[in-house]
Amino acid sequence: MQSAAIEIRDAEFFYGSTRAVVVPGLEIAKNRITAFIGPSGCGKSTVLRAINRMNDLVPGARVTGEIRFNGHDLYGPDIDPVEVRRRIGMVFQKPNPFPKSIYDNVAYGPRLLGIRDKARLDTIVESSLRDAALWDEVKNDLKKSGTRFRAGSSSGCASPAPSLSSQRSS
Amino acid sequence: MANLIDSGAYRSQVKRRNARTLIMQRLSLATLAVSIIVLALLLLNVVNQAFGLVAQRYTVDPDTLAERPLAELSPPELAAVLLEHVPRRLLVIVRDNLYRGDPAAFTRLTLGESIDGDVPETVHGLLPTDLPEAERNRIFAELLGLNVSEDVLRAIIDAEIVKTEIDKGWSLHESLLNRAAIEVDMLTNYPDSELVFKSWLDVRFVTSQLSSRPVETGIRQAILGTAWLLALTVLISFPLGVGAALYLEEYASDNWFNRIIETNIRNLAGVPSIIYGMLGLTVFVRTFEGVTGGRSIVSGALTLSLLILPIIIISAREALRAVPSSLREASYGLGATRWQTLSRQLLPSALPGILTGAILGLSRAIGETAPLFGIAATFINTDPTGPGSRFTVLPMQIYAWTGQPDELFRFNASAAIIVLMALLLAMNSAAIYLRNRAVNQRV
Ligand SMILES: Nc1ncnc2c1ncn2[C@@H]1O[C@H](COP(=O)(O)OP(=O)(O)OP(=O)(O)O)[C@@H](O)[C@H]1O
Ligand SMILES: [Mg+2]
Repeated sequence: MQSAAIEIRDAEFFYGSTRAVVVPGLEIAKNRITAFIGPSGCGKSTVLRAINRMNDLVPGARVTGEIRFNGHDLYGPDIDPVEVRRRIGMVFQKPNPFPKSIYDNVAYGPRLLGIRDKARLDTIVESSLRDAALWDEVKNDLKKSGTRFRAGSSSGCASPAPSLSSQRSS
Repeated sequence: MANLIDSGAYRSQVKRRNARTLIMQRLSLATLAVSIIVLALLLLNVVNQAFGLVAQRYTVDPDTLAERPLAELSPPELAAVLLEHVPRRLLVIVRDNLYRGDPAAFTRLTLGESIDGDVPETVHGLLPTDLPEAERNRIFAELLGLNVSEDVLRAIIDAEIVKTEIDKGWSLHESLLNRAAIEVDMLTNYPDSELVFKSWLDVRFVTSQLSSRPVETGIRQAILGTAWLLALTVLISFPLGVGAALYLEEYASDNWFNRIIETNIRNLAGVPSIIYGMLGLTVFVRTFEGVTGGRSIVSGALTLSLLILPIIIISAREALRAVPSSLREASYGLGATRWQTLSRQLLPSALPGILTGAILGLSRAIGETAPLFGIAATFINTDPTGPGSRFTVLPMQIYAWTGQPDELFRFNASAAIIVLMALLLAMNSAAIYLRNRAVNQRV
């Protein structure tokens, strides 16, 4: 067994004053696919969202205990949540594309990191869509705006995050 | 199941429910009808006063001025009419229409220097005072024929020679239904006048400057003043309002200080506009006179900005809040900073809503008189030239006209109301268009 990428210890997850989930201890291994399984409302999303600090966006959401990523405390005082989200990607339960073209959606992440070079963006977009097995389907509609598409996940692929948490409805 | 539906109790319940629906439907239809009728009455009332018969007479009959009707004459021929009938007025006419500098300096400049337009080579270096009067007037007439359009020349002839006078005007309603009584009135009271149908709203009215004669007056200054004022108001209130909304919606934490600010903004939206007028007068016109120039467009725009800031802030916040939270999450989830999410996702998708609010705020501002009391002028006949100019606006002009003793100004006021309502309608249509676009864009 390889060393853990993410470790959670004695963590409690609150929404306001309600405690939603308790996680006494959890290790998520490197280079493996780990799945959380449980009934609806048991707290899978809450834990997952806490790992890349998406719960910071929910007013009143709060975490106690320890969540470590490669040994760093994700809720430590000198941690920038934006940096955390850049390193730990997230694919949402419901696809939520931006109201833009497929190309702009996929290129959104790389552009946030300041990549402006057209050729580089083109390669990233193509390889991300190939990874998501969508390239052949959408390659002719890349620049069409407002196309409803299910490539939401491929924008996650284009995020340069080494770690990726993904949600699929059961 | 089948016998349940067939039962009498079920039937009567359905019947009662449908009856209730029908009553509500009729009621809402009735309220709609009432509001449409009120609107129609309002429009009819305005239109009624803006068109109608007038008793009109000329000091000089225009048909005697030339062999052919004035409408057929070319600019040089029209200028010749002026030369023949009012030679002494030509210097003033040329100065007012073809020269843009200080009026007192006009006679000290050569024609080449002073005239804004074509000047024949032969007279380029001449001073107006150099020449014998007859020769000078001939040259002026030539310059007018070269540089002024037929429409303007005809308007000058009308003001200088024909001098239309209107003795009395009738409303559209009277003109259409009471023609016989009007004709009797004409014969007994105005035997020298001619009965003609006049539209008080026409191109001349929109483009002419204010005058003390109802026949001649126009709303050019009021329209220009309104345009200047709105432009400055947008420039001041839009960035401030959107900035404040962004701060309150995205950055402000939920503490007592911010909650007090929020409550106050909502209350400010309900403060009567005359109070903003008093504030503007004390603060912008008096206290900061050195900066704003006193009763200037800047003072007016600052006052109106205060008036509509709450509207802009509230609607911009609603627009930002209406952005689906999935968009926010998706952006943050990809590692965007707060500012990146704001500028790339939230602002673009909230923009139509923000614009709608801003336009609705402006269309409130455009119709306000009370906050501009003491800041805008009532009678002013110079065009505004910059943010420091004195100015008047359409509603102010309308108000001033309705208070005039000469009843004919009522007709001018109604014509100006039609212009104001057309402007408002245009702005509100723009707002609706933007809102529809916003709705269609949401996937
Ligand atoms: N924003 C919130 N505010 C308050 N309570 C919340 C919020 N989001 C989730 N909860 C509560 O936290 C608990 C865990 O919710 P969570 O969404 O993590 O469950 P889940 O396992 O992902 O469920 P599902 O399988 O339906 O996605 C639930 O009881 C839910 O009611
Ligand atoms: Mg979930």
